[in-house]
Amino acid sequence: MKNHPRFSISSRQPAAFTLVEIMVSLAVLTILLLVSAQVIGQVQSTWSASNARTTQFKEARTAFDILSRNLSQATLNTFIDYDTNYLATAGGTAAAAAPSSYIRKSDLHFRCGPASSLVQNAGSSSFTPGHAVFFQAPLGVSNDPTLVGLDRLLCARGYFVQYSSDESWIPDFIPSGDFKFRYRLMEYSPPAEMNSIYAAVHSPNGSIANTWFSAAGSASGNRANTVPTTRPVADNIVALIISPRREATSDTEQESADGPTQIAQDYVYDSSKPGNTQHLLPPLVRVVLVAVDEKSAIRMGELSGSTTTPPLGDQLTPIIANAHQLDQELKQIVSILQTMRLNYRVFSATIALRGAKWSI
Amino acid sequence: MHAKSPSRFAKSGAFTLVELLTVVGIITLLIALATPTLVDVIRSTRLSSAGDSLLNRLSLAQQEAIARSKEVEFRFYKYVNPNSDRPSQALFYAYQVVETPSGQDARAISEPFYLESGVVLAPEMSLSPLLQTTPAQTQGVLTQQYVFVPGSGGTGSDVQYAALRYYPDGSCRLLNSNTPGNTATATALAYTVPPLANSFLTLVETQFVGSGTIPPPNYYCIQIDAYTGKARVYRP
Repeated sequence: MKNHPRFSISSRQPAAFTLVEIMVSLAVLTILLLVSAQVIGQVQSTWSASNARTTQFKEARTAFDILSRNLSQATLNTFIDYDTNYLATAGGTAAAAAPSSYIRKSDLHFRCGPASSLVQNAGSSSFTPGHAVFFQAPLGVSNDPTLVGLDRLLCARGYFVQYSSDESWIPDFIPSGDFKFRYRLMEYSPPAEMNSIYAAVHSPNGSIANTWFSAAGSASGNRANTVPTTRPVADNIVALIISPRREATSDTEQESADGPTQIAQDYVYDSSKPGNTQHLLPPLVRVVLVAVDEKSAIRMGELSGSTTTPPLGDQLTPIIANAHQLDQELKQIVSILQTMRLNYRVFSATIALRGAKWSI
Repeated sequence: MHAKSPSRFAKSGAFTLVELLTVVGIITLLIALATPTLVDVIRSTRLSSAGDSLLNRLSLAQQEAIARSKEVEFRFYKYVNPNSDRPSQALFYAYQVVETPSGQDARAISEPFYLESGVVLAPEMSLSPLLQTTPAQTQGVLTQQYVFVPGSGGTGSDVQYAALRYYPDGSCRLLNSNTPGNTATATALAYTVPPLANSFLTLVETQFVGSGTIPPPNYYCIQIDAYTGKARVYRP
């Protein structure tokens, strides 16, 4: 009992922490928290970035598949018939003249080239970087329910990249502040019953007017199916390159101006243009799709300042000029995307057109 | 025996009532502050998971149509009877993948899936134009059975449905007439391609149904491109 006060003092002393101890432990705790917060933050950002990339590029890959599948079914359905050029020559004797030869003919059309010149409704080249391709294929897609089951009906198809907002197909109830301006891969896909290829002007020399895809680029038909529509296939596709080519006869030929790309040196191909390649489908078409992810697209929009100003097209369009230098051009495009610190992916494939009967 | 002197006890650190009350008060305050946000988070997670699973099932139905090379129907069900237990306002609350071979009875390919409680498909035209046609479910001629029978007392005849039909090429069409019919032609005519801008349906929380707030504070809108069958999602 005498010891009690001393005992209680000695037991009381270790019961409390000193200020120094508490501060040290707090400091250690803070350091630990900071470190772990940093690690967690890093893991989270990596995870969300890779997640965004896979989901985004999933859409681009699907779009690339749709494009390749439909393009490979392109057809011209050529036939051999009298050369009716003599009808074009004026004068009374022409009617009496007889056709002098048989030539290859077709009512259908394959057309590719810079999108800004082919797609009238899409805007200037900064709105439509890269190329457009328009063709006919037996896809059997129709709106008319009585045509269900006719799965070889001839359809017009076209693909191009366009910078636009989603206001013409976004559900009505979503407030207008949520419209997204993006580069998108667009598909011109009037249903089979609205295919106007036969209404286009076919001149005696065989060339076909572009009027059958003059509605392309205007997405307004998505509100009501009154006109052939242009639908979005995938968001955040910044460039589409279409390069028709023939088989290479040797490896060295690959990169030269008179190599496989000679049939469309400046990426322009018109199957109805009078000449050697009239009414021939290119046997091969190299398709390149440059996609970015959603985050990069948002950043790109911020860089350009205004949402209605296309942020990239002006830089890409002048690069794409010579088909035999496609690989170098692609490198330049990639370096532009890299300097803008964008997450990108390039899809590239050479597609064989099954309907091509190349004979040159 | 002064070992348990009051002075020793007070100094060895027992909590006083005031201290305890303060702590309890702070904890209560924290919980009160955190709860509303937490409830919001839980509700929006429920909406997302309901939307995600509907999205997955739609794409599964499309793949089913491609894999079987047959037409496959995606049906959304609702009760007609307003007195049935759930949901109280006769709203779309379940969906099922169904095969409808021509000349034969419709067959269920999947079990019916029920939306999570608190989440329904909005019935308004402006939110779900895809769900506006609702023929009554009819009994199969051969089996005398309904494809979908609601639980808890309801019968198959109480049920109406809206339907999307997936085709072997991956495209889809919308049931647009009340008479799907038995012949192939009648069926084909009943299904049409909706314009892209009107080709969507929206999941909302039950409490916002009929409240007139459009858009609702939280929604999960699925838009389906009829040509490719591909879906895209809009969220606030």
